[in-house]
Amino acid sequence: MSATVLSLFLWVLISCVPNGNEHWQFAETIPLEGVGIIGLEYHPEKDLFWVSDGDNNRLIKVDNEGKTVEDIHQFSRPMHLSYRDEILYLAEYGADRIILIDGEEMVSIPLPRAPDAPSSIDVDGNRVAVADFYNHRIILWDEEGDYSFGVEGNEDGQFHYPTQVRFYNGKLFVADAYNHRIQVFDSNDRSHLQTIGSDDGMNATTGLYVDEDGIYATDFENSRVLIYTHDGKLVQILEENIDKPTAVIKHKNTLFIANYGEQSISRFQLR
Amino acid sequence: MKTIILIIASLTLALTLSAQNDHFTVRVDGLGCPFCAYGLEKKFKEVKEISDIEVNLEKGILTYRVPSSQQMEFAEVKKLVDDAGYTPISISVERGDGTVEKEDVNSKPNKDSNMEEKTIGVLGNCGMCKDRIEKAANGVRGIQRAEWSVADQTLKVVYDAEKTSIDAIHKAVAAAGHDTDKVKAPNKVYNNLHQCCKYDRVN
Repeated sequence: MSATVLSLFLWVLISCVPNGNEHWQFAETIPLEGVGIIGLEYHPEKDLFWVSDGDNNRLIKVDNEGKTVEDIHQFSRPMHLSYRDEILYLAEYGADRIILIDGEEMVSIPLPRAPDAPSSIDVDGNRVAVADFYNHRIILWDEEGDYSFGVEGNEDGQFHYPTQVRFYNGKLFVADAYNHRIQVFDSNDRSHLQTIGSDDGMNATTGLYVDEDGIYATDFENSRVLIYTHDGKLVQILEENIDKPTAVIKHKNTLFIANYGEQSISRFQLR
Repeated sequence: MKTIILIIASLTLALTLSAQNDHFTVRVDGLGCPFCAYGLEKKFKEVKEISDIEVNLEKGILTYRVPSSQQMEFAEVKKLVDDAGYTPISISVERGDGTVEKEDVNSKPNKDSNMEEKTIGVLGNCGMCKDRIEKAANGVRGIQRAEWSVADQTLKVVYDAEKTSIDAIHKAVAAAGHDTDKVKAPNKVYNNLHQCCKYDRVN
C-alpha cells in the first residue's frame, strides 16, 4: 500500500516539472538600451539576435551582449519576426505589409487579403499565416487558396486582437492577446482544437513560441511567461527579471524573452 | 478700393489660418501595450492632415497637430479613437488663434449608447489595492470608468458593452490578484501581493 502511495507521489512530482526534474532558471539579462523591443529571433550560427525595435521604427541585429551590430532597415512599427529556413519574415504593422528578408534581398509579400495592422507572420512550407490585428482574424493561405478565418469575439475560433501566430506540427497556434489566451487550430481545415491559458490570469497574451517540448506564452501586463505542455497543462511560470514581455523564443536549452518594459532580453536556462 | 482691401484682408486671413495649427491632447483608456499605442497612432496617421503624432503609453495620452484650416471637431476625434478600438476620456485643443477648448467625454453614460454601468464585488484592503484594482479594470478595452470602494468592497464600472463584457472585467481584476464575486485570483498572484494588500479570502 505504502509503495503504491509513494509511486503515485513520485509520479505526480515528476509530472509537475518539464522534462523530469528540469526547470527553467533565470541566467542573465542582456540590456538593450533605447530599444523598444517587440519581435525577437535568433541566428544560432552567428549567435546574433534580430530585434524589431517598434518604438524607433527599425530592424536591428544585436550581439549576445546587447550591442547593436547592424541597423538593417527602417520600417513603420515593425512587430513580430519569424525565422524559417534561413529566411526572416517581419510584420510591418504601420504599413500593412509583410516583409521577407533573404540575405540582401528584401521584398514585400503579396497578401490574399488586405490586413489592418499585421502583427505577426509565420510560414510552414507553402502555407503562410498572418495575425491581422485590427480585423480580429488570421489571414491563412497556400498555393491552393485563401483560408482566412476569424471574427471579433471571445468564443472558440473568434479573436480579440490576435498578436502572434506560430505553426507547429500541423497546427496553428494563435496568441489571442485581449482574450488573454492561446487558441490552437488544425492548420489544414482551420478547426478549433484547443484553448490554452484562459484560467491562468493572463492579461494581454502578446507573444508565443511552440516546439516539441511545449508552448511558451508572454503575459504582458503581469510581466510573466507561462509554459504549457501540449495538453494545455501549466507547468511553470517565469517572473524573475521579466518586464512587460512581448516575445519569447527558444534555442536548445535556452529561452530568450524580449522585455519591452525594461528594454532587454532575459535568458533562462533549463537546469 | 474697398473690394481690393477686402480681398487682401481675406487672403491674409486665409494665409494666416493655413499656417496655424491646432494642438490636440487626447486622454485614452485601455492603452495597455505597444500594440495598442501603435494602433492608435496608425488610425490617426491615416488622416493625412494630421502630423506630429505622439502616444505616451504610460500616461495614456495622444497628442498631435492638425492645420487650423481643417477645423477638426471633437466628434471627429472621438470617432477616430473609437474606430481604433479605444475609449476617449477627455479631449483638449489649443487652437491656432490661442483659444483652448476641453471636453470630458461621456462623463455620464449615454442611455442611447452601448454603455452599461455595473457593480461587482471585489476584495481588497487599502489604497494600494484601490490603485491596483482600478488600474486592472481600466486596462480593459471599452472601460470608461472604474471606481473601487474599500468600504463596500465593490467596483463600479461603466463600459462599452460592444467592446467588452463584465466577464472580461472580472477576469482582469482577478488577474491582478483580487478575488471578485465571480472569478478567483490565481494563488501565485495573490501570494505576491504586498503584505498590507493580503485581504481575507473567502473559500
